Amino acid sequence: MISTLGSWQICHEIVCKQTLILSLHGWREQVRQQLQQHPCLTSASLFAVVEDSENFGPFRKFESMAKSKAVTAPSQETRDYVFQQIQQTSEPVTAGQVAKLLAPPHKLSEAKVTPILDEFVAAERLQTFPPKTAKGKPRYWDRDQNEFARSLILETLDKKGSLAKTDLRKAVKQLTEELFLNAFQGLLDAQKLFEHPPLPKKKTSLFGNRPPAPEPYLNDLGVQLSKIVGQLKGASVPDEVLRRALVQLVESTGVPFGGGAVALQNVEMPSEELKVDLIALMRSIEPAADSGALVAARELRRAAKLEKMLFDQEILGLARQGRLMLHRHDFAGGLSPAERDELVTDGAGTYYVGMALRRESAQ
Amino acid sequence: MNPFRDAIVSNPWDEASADVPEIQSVVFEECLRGIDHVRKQHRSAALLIHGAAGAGKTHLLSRLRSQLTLKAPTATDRDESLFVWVRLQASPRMIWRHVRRTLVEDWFRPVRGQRSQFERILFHRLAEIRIADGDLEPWYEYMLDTDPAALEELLERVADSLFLDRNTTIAFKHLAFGRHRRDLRAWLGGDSLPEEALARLELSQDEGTDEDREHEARRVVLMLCRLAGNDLPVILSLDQVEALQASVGDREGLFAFGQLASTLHDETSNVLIISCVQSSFATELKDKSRGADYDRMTSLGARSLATLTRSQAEKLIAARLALAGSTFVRPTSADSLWPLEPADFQRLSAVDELTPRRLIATCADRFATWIARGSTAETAPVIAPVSTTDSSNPAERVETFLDEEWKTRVERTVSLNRPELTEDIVRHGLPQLVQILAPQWGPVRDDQLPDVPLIFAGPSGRTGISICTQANMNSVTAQLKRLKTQFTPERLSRLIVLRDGRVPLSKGAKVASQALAHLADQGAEIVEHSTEVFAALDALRGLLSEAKSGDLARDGQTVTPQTVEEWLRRHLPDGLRDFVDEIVGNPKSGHVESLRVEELATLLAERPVISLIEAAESLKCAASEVERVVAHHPEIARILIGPPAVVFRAENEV
Repeated sequence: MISTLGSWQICHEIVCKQTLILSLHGWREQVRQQLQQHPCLTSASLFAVVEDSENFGPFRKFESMAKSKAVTAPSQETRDYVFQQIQQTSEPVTAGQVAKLLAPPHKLSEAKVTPILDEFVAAERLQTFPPKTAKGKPRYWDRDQNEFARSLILETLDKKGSLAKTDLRKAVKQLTEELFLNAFQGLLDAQKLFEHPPLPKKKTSLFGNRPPAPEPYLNDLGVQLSKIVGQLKGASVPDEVLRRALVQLVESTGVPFGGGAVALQNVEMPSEELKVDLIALMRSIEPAADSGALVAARELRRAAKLEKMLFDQEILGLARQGRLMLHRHDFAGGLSPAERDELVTDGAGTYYVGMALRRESAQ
Repeated sequence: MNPFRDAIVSNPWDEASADVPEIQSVVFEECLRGIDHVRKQHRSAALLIHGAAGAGKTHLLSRLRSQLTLKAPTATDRDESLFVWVRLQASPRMIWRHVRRTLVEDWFRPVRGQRSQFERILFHRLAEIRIADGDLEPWYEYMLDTDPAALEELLERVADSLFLDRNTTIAFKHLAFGRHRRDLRAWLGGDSLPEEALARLELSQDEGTDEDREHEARRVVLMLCRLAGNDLPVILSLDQVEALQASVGDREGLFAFGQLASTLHDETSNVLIISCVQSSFATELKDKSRGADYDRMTSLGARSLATLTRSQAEKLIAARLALAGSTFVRPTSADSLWPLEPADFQRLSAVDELTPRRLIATCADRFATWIARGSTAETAPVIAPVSTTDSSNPAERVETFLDEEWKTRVERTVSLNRPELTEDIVRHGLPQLVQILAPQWGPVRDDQLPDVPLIFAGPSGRTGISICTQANMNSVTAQLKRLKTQFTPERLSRLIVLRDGRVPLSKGAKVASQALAHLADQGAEIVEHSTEVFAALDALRGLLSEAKSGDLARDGQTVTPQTVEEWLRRHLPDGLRDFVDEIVGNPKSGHVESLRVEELATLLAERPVISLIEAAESLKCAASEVERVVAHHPEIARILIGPPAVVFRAENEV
């Protein structure tokens, strides 16, 4: 029975029971020898189990009875591993969060991680950051305060949507005024932060982490236009004449028809802000994606939850990189506007119904 | 010669010109693995292939068919398989009949230098139980000549081992002995046969209602697959699935297709179903099919056809140029993409536009321009815009293309038209025709009217159409009798009984004549149309089906169904307009004339040449009326002006 044990819980239980008996003698080495008879445990996992029991389970109680715990300092390898984990985070982290990031055989408790982090701070490899909340603990990161401020602003906008500057300032009140202003201006200059003109009947500009969506600005105009078009149709103006007039009207605003593809392709979108891995998402939607199965644009769009234009741009970008193969809809003219909206478009009248991973991409 | 002119493979049975194996090799290998899977597992499976219009779906099937074609005499120690290509240009409620007919035609199809596929089945079955060693085909020939009784006994054993029913066993024997080949083919394909032919074949044919016939077709298809056996996997390629949809969003076609795929998947053990659809249709198929059906039609997965890489494009161009041989000399400065310009290639490969069809079409245009400018080895590649050979605008070019396409298709469908196809043509084509000319009339179903497969509901009520074109008089009689009870004012405002003048009621079919007359008394309209009308309807459904499936293209650009419909609306022949008028309530000629037509056809079947006076006496009408009927229906009769004037039966020119 024991040799077939595989689950962590059962192993943990055995450790506890065996430790209870052996702790009378108090020697962890003996526990290890005993448990090595069980082939379900690798040496790394065995060590982790014992460490875990030592920190959180009954082992600690009995160990104190044995009064002979062998305290060993974390190895240099473990220290480097801790630093690597912090480098991979997208924001400052507490010692407790770092401890949770560590995997066997480098698993350490928060108490053991904290002095290591402090050593890194002393060596100027890490910087400390104020806690997120009043009761929170200090945080550590390998990047500087300005980068932290920029990251915090973008993260806030991502969560809350576009905000007025004063509201954004309140939302990141842990930043100093100077830090906020520097980061804010830096993001604007780098075109990672975008000023949204005031909406109709509003006075305040908003700021977002992507350009404004045109629809809210055009809503009122759309209502008025629909009314006028209805009146003209009622006056027997043919559709063709109306269409021509509307196209001329739109083109007179500086938005050309027909050249849209080029214009759209050249839009600098904040792609680095994209949090969605569309390739991974395709694989999760369609398990056979790596074999070339088609993923419908509609399904991927819903799963990605991106703004339409940004989604289309990302998909076209991936196709240009040769990672995706787009499948064109030859008769998009026969679709309703709602159906067409679900497809990916290049803005020049070409619609794509779905996409498949290219072989090289799949591999 | 422009080696790029022919850009579309319209039939996998034709040899594909300039095949480049690297193109779509991944999906092709997947198909071969699928066949291997079916052969080894003894379980049917299915693969769905989708791609953009012009990505090469039918070309891929052509390559597959070519790969599977035997290069040597049949032998059981080699992995062999059977191939069927079904273009689903059919009414959803006739899908099994369509598959049955196509399967039988393909298995009887002569393959260059080889036995037909039916004969290969026969050899494989005989090889399982034969008693002699040595080569199979010489042994079979020997048995056929010297010991037919022993061969018949072996065939009996095969039939017993496969639990074949009586009809199938007899058909199998006819096949083995090469007897009644034409009638046998018609019987296996589901055509209605006259009693005399059935008597010769010693086979029976119980046609029953529409549903019965569909059920029978399903049974025959499954039985034929079983007859092939697990050593001979059947590759059943289902192309142009889109054509099953009468209109955008129509679910009946998708449902029928799903059922077909599921049944073949579950109730056979040796079939690889390869379904080919456009990518735009693939998503609709997934959304609107029943989940269980979709799972079965993709049991081996769904695969995309890729656009071309530069290397593949170069190889395709090279292969096409090789076709022209030494009929021209390439410019000295030509590169591996010639006759394309670098800008052409960039444009085509911008975002997944580089399908084989578009590449070849662009090359064709470039090549034609180069020839027109006086091709010499020193001539630099042309830099002028594409299409310098044709100054008309794109809309005009499409219009011209459709004009020519229609003319060619009608010529072909007229030459191929036969009465056995009338029901297929009308049931698939008529709903599409009505949608174009009278969109306010929509198709409806009524399960209480099993012999009225087409019903159109419109502003003036419901018009039902029953198609009575069977060659077997017993079947016609039975159907006409059933119609008498089904035709009630509660269910139908009007009933049109569609007859085909080439299959008149025989003189002995008195009960059928009476039933037809009774129906006419009840108010049913007996209508006949000329071969030209049926051929035009056939051309219409073919054109629309190919447009829906992305297989209709001009200069590499797909011509949409909307464009085709628009063109048809303006160019349809009068015969088709009259057909629709009859349905929507504006009949050009009354049913009295239709009855006259029927009577005249029957008379001429009995007496192919008769004087006008005698004909008028037989039909109990004036000679002028006979003259008028003949003038309207030249497909049935002609008149030799006398004296004396003689009416004679028009022979089918097919």
